[in-house]
Amino acid sequence: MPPMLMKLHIERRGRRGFSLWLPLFLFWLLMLPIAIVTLPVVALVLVLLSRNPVRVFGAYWGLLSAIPGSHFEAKSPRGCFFMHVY
Amino acid sequence: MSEDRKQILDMLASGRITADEAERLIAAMERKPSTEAAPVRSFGNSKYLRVQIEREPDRGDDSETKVNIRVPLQLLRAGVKLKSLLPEDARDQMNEAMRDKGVQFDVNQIKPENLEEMLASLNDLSIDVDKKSRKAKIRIFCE
Repeated sequence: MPPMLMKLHIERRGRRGFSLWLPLFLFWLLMLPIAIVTLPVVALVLVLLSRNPVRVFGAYWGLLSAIPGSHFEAKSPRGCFFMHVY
Repeated sequence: MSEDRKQILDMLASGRITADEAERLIAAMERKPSTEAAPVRSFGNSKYLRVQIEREPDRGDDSETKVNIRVPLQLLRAGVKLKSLLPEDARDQMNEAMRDKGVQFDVNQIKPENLEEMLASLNDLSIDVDKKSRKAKIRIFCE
């Protein structure tokens, strides 16, 4: 499954921090019609470039599906940043 | 008789090693297959590669700097698979760009089996960095 949600938290020293929940699934919903239209064209271009479209799409899908679980957190005296992908 | 054993006996016969040393070498050689047979640790149970950096506080600051990164191993594997789809020209350009930066690295050498090996060697790696009286600790491990 591609990433569905992302949580961001940013905080600067002396200021109030804020958290953001980004609903990535809405982005995929928006992208779906565009993907349906462009995929055949991309597949054709890949065939012309002697690349296997199934392999290429599979590799990108694998990459997208592996993103959930990623986590980045940094804390310094100047503030902190937190990002988690669900 | 194995080649190694024969070599040890030849060394013993020619007087280059003592009987004691020969015995120790043979014993070590007999133990060797069991360690060699152990496969490169596969990360079947591990899901993430974790990088933790902790740096001591600056002068005047009381809190230290901490960085905590968790990367799914699946993402690394998918990235390696994606590499094989890159055109050869692009790979050559990447190699050249890295060489220009002083990094002797060949993208063509990245293979899934190499990644497992690299992760095995990185497992629970700890690096202490001491720069201008400020100390940092970098820890890399799989979980």
